[in-house]
Amino acid sequence: MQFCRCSILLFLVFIGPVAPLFSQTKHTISGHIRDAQSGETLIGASIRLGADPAVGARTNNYGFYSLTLPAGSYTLVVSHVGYRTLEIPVELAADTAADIELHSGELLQEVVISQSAADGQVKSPQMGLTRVDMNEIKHVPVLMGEKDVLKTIQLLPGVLSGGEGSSNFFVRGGAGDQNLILLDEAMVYNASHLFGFFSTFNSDAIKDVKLYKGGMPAQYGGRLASVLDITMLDGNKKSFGAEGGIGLIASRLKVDGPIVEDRGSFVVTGRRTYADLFLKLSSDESVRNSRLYFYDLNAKANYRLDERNTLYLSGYFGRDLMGYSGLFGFDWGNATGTLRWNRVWNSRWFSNTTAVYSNFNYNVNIESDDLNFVIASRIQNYNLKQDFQFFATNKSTWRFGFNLLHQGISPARIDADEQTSVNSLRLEDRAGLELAAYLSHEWKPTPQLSVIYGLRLANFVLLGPGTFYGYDNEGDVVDTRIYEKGEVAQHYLNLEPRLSLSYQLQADNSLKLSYNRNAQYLHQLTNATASLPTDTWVMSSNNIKPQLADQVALGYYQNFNNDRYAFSVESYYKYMENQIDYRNAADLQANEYIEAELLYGVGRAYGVELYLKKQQGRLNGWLSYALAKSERQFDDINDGNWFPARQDRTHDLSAVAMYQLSPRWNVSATFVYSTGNAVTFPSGKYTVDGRTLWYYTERNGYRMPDYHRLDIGATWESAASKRFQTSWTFGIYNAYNRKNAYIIDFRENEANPNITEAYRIALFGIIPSITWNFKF
Amino acid sequence: MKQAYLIILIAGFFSVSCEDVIDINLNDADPQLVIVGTVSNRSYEQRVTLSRTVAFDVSEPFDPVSGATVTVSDGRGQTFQFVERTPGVYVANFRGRERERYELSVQLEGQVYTAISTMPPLITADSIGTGVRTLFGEEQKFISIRYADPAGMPNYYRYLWRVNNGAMKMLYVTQDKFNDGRYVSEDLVDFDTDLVAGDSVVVRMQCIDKAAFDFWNAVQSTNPGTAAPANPPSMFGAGALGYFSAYAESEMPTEVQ
Repeated sequence: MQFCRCSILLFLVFIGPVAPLFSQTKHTISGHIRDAQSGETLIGASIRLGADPAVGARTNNYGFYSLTLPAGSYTLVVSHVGYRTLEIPVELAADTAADIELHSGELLQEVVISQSAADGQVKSPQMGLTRVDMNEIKHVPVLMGEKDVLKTIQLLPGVLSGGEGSSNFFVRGGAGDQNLILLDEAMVYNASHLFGFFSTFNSDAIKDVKLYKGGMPAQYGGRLASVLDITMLDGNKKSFGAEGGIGLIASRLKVDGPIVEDRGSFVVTGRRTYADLFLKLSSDESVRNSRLYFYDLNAKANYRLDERNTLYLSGYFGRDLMGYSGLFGFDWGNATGTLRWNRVWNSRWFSNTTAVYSNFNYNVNIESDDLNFVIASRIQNYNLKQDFQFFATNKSTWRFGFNLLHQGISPARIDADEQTSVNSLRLEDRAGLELAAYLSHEWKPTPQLSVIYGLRLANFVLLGPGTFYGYDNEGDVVDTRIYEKGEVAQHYLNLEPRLSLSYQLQADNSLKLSYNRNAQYLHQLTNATASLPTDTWVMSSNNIKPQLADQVALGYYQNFNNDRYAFSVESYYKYMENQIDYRNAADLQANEYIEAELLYGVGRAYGVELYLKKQQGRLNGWLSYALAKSERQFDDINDGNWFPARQDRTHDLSAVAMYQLSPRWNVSATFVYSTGNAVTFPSGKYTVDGRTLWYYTERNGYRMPDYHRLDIGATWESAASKRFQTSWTFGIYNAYNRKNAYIIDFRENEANPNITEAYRIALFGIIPSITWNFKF
Repeated sequence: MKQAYLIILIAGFFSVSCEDVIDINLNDADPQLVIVGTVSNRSYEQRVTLSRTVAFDVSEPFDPVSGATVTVSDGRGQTFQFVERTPGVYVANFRGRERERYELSVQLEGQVYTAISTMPPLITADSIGTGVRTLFGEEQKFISIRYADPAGMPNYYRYLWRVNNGAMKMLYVTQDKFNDGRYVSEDLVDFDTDLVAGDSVVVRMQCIDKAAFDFWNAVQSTNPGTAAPANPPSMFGAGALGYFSAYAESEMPTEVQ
């Protein structure tokens, strides 16, 4: 009865004091683990005892580790995926500071490639976490050759693609707005460019990607389904470098180097599409003057003030611009800024203070002979985070902190000039304050059992000034309340327990169990299949209760063949409360009474996810399969019966293979197959005023056709020894030209309007791509 | 916002999307009663049609319902009895009045279906003409009408037109959410019809009530990108689809310049 015992312990630890350390003198070895060539800190690198691999530590998000051991002499084994494993003899007689550098390993010399990540799934107590290896992303073939983090995570089990031409993703039956997307701790409100064809994350700027599908640690909160935690590169601390690429639709450039050698570095990456340059070839002047492009700019700098203090400043700025001269213009984008202060208090205490600003806005300009107005909307936040890590013993690490988040929404503003036949309008701004405190403990009570448990307490306050309406069941206003600035219009308090537990059965297999409760106070409203920059954001209010999710998951992890293969199976059940749907033909744009358009219900999602990964050798890759169900129930929809969520896909399969053909050539292929989305199709028709209308009976009672696609890619790299390295990436998207239905719609036949027909629109046929990359 | 169209447009920009007609197996739902009733200020004959929904692949979409008792009563206590002229089409002779409240009652197989509609005051355009704009190198002509929207009250409009000898065709409905009290210029276009100089066009502008607007707005805002298409709200409650609209209409002829 391991579980019972554990829950008692869990209780004791929460109320009791930290157990004192006993007898034997213990010392701590601590420091940072870095890449030897660039000085880049390594996240999640492992440091273990050679004699007893069960004893060890991993670096945190800033590359810091702390390992407390009885005095004595040891051999420490330091390893990280893609790096040569290092063995360090240590005589531990006092607290020791030791910064360690690892050399990256050649892919073909598989012996030296670390297994630290390879057995990570089996050994780590964290459940539901997947790390994306940035080296793998390089080889996974993608649309137009633009390697893309968001597209790659969609190949993992339990993560569904938002569909062709969408960066949106759905985790374990959740909605698109239930994913918390963080870039250097800053919330990214809209992660797509060009309505979703590309994501806002330029892979060149990214060091580490973590995706939590469940059992999220207590420091994360605010979204139901997942946490995607993306860390930007720090920049080369030792020498200047540049790399970039020229692709079919975009060019990229990255420059990095030391500010002061070994103390600080910077990195700047930029990307811009140039599809619009072709517009210049048009003979039509207004086409020539049209705009259609996006760009991203990532910049980061860090500076080590002294042995204990390091500052990081990072920012992201990206924008999409489109416009047709003389008619309309449309631009949108995110801007984020993060300032962080790392402090190593002593060998066992680490703290991080973060101040974040994040903003998303859009502008629409309409001009014509007699119309001239601007529509603007914005959402932004200021976020202050304080996080402490206490490495108590090599079996126990505490983490706690608080988080103060101020969020403001300007839902819609229309500025029109006097001559225009449109009225200026300004919907009231909304502001909310979320104060959260958390405590979490990673603990290894026995050599087999390890556990991360924690609590998050979040207090959400919707602030005045503003007019707040109450509605009846029909959506009519029954109550109007006016609050002054600073007054509390609504208040919610949620306690979110989190647990992730691992029981090591043998050296190469383990069982895990997790539970998490998450609350969400920010909601994105859309009644369309595609998510658009103009989707409206609302905060929880007197009408909109916080969304809540409870998820339990159980998993089995097994490595084979000396960690050459990693296999896992996870099953989960998730129950969601206060889910949002819409009244028929809901008006979600610039609507003062928008909350009258909402309906509230519950959801449930459950499934099994299988994952088999080959992580060593010339052939790498993975197979992932999920069998899942996601359903919703609303009193006013589908006669109150449960219906499948749109993203309910019974089967979802991805296969990814990368093969190192020769030192120069790497070939790869990706195959995806999934059940079609649940959709609403008509089950009859009728005429009104000579027009044929469709008769709908059941919500999401039909299925889109199954989706499948094969992409292939190949990369040629010049010799690694050269100072100036180049590579070519070739790709073929949708290699067998499958016409996957993007839309199925119904219409009257052109020749005979009495006959009705279904038609299909497929977005992408076979699309080749080529990219040239350089690095020096 | 026609998101899906926008995305297809973008994909079209990369010249990659394609379209074809496919076969889909759709269920045949139990037939449902459809009631469509109108009262106009311009006509001396008012009409109510009763039909049932049919399966998607049936080539005759109008399945008439006969033998109903149909009446409309106004706010002054007058009741107009409708007679079934052709199967499913019921008519009565009276002329609608602005600001009058009308109640439609349909009795069928022991069930009574009722709906109420109040005819809004007539708002007429004070000018009509041809406009031209250039979109992606192609000239597109449209009919432009101008009218003063009354301030301080919600107004709903429905536009129809007939081009040359074609059928009268509904274009769309609008509301004054963003231009209450303004002098409004409405550009009428129909993506299926290219206007050329010399075409004769008759425009009908109807002032409709909110319920009729909600009905048509639900129809026109359902597009291939709608996450959950549904039947437009019925004024008759559960058991019958359709709508009842008392509208004030004006008609304007013009010739495309």
